[in-house]
Amino acid sequence: MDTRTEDERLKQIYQRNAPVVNDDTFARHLEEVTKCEHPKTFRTAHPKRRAALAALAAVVVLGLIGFGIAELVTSSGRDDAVVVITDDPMSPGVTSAGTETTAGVTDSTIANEWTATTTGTTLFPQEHSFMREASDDGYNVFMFTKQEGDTKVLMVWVILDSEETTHEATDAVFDYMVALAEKYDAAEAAGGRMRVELSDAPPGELIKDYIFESRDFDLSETTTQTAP
Amino acid sequence: MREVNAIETREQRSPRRAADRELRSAEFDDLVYAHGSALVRSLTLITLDPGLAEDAAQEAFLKLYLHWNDPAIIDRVAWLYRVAINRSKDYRRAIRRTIQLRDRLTARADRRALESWDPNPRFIDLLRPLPKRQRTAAALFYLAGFSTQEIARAMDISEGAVGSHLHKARQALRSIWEDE
Repeated sequence: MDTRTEDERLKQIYQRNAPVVNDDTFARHLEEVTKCEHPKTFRTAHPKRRAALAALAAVVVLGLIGFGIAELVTSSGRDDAVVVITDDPMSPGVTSAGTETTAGVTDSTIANEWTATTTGTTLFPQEHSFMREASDDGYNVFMFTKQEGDTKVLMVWVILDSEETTHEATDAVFDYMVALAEKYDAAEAAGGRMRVELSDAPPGELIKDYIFESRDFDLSETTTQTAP
Repeated sequence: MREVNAIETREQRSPRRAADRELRSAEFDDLVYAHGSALVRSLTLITLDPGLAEDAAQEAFLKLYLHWNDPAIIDRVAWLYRVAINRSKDYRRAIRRTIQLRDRLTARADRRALESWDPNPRFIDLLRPLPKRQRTAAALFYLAGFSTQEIARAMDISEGAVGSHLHKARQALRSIWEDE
């Protein structure tokens, strides 16, 4: 069979095995498409709204940046320190200029070892032992120092379940925290002044918004209690 | 004064643009009816994927419509095939996305021009292992009725290369006679 004959046969085979296409449907479809030759997107359909949204976004971003800078400037002048005691794993804390921050304590599951990570600054020498014992006893405690005029106060926030908010229970918590503070010499953190505040903040909420009881203690003169 | 002239110019230009558009639409329609079906059929036997073939053909036609007055396009049919073949190669996903978006914009979906395709499985088995260029050259030659020169333009290769691809395709497909 010569090439020409082969080509003729192949043409027939190709024609037989090609699909059937409806010209009208194809053309109609294209006609619909070409009618909206330049399909309008939000960019082209609402240029003014788009510009307004862009301006609004820019204002919001600039506002957030300004707020961030203001917060940074404010916090850099403070001499506060924060200590976190929790069972939950946490990443190491970040220390910015002028602040004292200690990272969360992580309960290691390897060989039941206790590991504590810290940025190097502690509120008082036995702080890790304080945190460890509190955590072992099931308390979520946040500690930091706060400047009130000329006085520095060691703040201890304790997160409690709502069942633990009875008077007897809260008394026990205060006693426990004072005992721990005395045991581990927390007085060194703020010249003996300590404020324990109890909060029943649910997860995701601000602790300070749910503080329901607060007592001040002077650790340098054994224990003195102040009503909230 | 300049502003008034500008308005007058725009108004004067507007009817001409409308006439241009009308002319383009008429010529475009002629081209669609002359080559739309052949393009889809050829692409189907090149890609062996009828959905992709139709999408690529529509994409190519749309692109041609948008570039209708582009002076760089000398041979519109060859350009159309070249775009469609290229679109069906590496842009499967992109084409699907574009088509889906366009279908949403035009409120048109699931209306296919391709009505049926019931090829001889033996023929498809012979086509499938062929290199894409051989399949393309063969489809354009045997189905679209292109000359080797037209195929060369559409594939953007030399005529000698087209001859070589056609020769190899012919050899590979020769055994189909045994089943015919």
